[in-house]
Amino acid sequence: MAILNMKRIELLAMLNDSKAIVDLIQQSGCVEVLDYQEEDNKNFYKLSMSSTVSQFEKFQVIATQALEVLNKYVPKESGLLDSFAPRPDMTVTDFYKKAQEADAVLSKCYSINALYKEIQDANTEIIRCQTSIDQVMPWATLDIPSSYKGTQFTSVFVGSIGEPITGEEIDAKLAGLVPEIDFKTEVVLADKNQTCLVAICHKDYAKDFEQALRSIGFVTPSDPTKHEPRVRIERLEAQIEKCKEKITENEEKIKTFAEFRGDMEFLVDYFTLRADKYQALDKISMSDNVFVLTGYVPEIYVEGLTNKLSSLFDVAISITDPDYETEDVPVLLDNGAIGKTMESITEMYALPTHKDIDPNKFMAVFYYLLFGLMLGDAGYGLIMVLACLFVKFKFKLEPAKAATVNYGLLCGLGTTFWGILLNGWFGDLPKYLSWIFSHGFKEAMPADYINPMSKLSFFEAMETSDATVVFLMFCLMIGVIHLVYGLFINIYNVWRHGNKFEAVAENVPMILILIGFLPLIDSQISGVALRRYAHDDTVVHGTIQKVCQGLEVFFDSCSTYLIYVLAAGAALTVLAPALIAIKNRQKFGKVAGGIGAGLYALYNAASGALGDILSYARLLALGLCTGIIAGVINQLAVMPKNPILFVVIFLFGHTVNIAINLIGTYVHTNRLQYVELFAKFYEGGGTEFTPLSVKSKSFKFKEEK
Amino acid sequence: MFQIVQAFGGDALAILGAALAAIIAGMGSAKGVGIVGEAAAGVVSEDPGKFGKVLILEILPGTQGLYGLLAAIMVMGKVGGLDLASGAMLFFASLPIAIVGYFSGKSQGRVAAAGCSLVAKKPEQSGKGIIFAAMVETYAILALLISILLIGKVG
Repeated sequence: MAILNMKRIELLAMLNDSKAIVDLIQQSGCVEVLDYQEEDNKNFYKLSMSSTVSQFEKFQVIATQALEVLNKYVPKESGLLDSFAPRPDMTVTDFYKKAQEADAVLSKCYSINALYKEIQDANTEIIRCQTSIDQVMPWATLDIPSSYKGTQFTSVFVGSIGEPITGEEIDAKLAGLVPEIDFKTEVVLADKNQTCLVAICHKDYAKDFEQALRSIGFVTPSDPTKHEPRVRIERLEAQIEKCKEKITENEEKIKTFAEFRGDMEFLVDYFTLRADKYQALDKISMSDNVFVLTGYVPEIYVEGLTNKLSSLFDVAISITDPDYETEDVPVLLDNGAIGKTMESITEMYALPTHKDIDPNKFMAVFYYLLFGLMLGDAGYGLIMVLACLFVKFKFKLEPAKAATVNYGLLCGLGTTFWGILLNGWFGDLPKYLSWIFSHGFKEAMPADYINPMSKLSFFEAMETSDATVVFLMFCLMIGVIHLVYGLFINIYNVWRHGNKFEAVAENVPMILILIGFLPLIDSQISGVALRRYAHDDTVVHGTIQKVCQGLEVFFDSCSTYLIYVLAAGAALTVLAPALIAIKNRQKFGKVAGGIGAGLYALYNAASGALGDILSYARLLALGLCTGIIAGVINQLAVMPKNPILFVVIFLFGHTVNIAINLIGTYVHTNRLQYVELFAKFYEGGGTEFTPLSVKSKSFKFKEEK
Repeated sequence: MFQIVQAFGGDALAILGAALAAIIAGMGSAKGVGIVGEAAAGVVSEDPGKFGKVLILEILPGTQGLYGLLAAIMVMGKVGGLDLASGAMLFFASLPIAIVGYFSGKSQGRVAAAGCSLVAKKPEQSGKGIIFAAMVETYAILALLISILLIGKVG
């Protein structure tokens, strides 16, 4: 069974052993510890560990920050594929040995953080100085302090006017305002924002003159200099220089810590581990001498865990079945290699509950078929396969990463499979290559050779409207199979829970409707496209041709019967709720009401079925998209008639095409799973099983012999 | 004059249709991708690690432009000595993906941008954000479907 059975564990042991036992449980990683509450019992109490936990979390943050700083100044050398490399092994003894150095490493982390703080402060100081310099800069050529007020008999005004204006204009304006005063002005600097000037007049007239100056917009600097402005600029520049030196010096110091990177990575893991452990200890109840720990354990681990615990400690363990009705029992999935690749997709939707069926292995087959059909290019598929195989054989992959790589591998295989059937090799590359080999690069291809609609044989099949329709029908046909498959899973799931009659009554009518719909859609979209088309057997390629011929025979022989199938499905849909009511021996009113519910269900079934089936048109849309754009790239590549440019355009174009279409295909394959397939049988909403475990990034524990 | 229209009008109309399919659907995608891009940059500024997730959301509204291109290329394959009636038919056949592509691209952009804020708050729910956005695309696919089928009917 793919959803693992859970057991409730209750463990009673001596308080002295509590930390050792929690350590062992953490290393085994198979118990989700529950918050234990015994309300009536006054002998048991809880010890709050929250201050210890937050202490460890604080240390963890400090180590993480220090590691980030270190990685910033001494980037970790890492290749593109290094994230696939397995974590190194570590024995428990080594772990404890290393843990003793934790304080020393932590103090190093503190020093790194302090150095970095100084760098940040220096950077702020540089910005502050720069702003001050910018303010004083216009006065750089002034050879008196800008706070200068004048001599014994003169008053000097240093300031600026907030607009560009010439010395003559200022003089003229001032002369107009205060004709009686003798004055002199000098413009220090004029740019498009301001005019900096110095004005001088006799001390007796200072007041009137200042008023006149202000009336033309004259303002004194907000922060006047005590010395000549040049002096302040020099001082600030020296300050910036000092800050820069400090930064380089500190950077050099930080770089010397590079050799401790491994220790710091360990430290981050170590504190995460400790914080997790104390969070678990927070949940146990204790008396003066004993403690109680409760939690969920997957059934398959129960024996190993109890044996290990009872061999090492004095413990009393009781294992019970959880109550699935009232408790929110966490869910842990266990699948084979192929089913596992789907788990991340299912988790993105919602985890199954214990009532659901684990959808992973059921959806895998169709997932990769639909994915492949949407991408549909053997060239692209082989690239994916080779890339994934390379990673697979280069590294000894850990399970989670192996699932990701297998997912890519299977997607690649699906794509290659359909690519071969549809004859798509980087679009229509073979055609271009054969032309290049026989005619060389210089000769232009004849126009009909590069007809965009004759790119792949896949598209040759689609030169006429009928071909597109055939392929569309093929896609919808796959859709119907996919949907019926979903309904059969639902039958299985409901049957499994003992509701055999409901299982059949609720799903069979819909299955009949889906199958009955097919010739209806066929006749509506294309008239008798399938039957007409299948006689021209040169055009449709390989398997699609065979399938379509099969379809033709199928429809020819039974299209009239399929209408009856549709009618039967419709009738059963109307009757099903009433039948279920009769079967449950309910009152007549309920049975009659069931007919009304059935009519409503028929409306929903008809519109729903049509919508569901048509949704599979995206197989055609995305498949065409990849193929046609691939063809256009090839066409562009041969245009310059130059082998080097051909390779460059080819590589660049197809890389972009793969990237864009991979994402599109990924999203739409998921959508078909979530919206079309899951709606048929899957509810989801389970809680993830989160055991107390070793969440380390830099190492993993190895069993000690 | 009438003779000129009769001789070249068909091709011109068909090319106008192809151009509109590429232009209007492309506009919708450009707008949609633009909206998501702004939201995505905001999310990445807070947490660069979410780049992969928001990138998928950003690319989603891009497909309408591709569908427009697809329809345009299919019309292109038919151009060359078309009579007026066939040209007009190709022109009209291009309209569904052109118009629906625009609105679908734009709306999908808005849904995907909302998906970005979902990713910002609850990164583990990114799959649902993607599905909400993918729902909008269905109508662009239906429009493309009908454009392709109609284009196929001509000539």
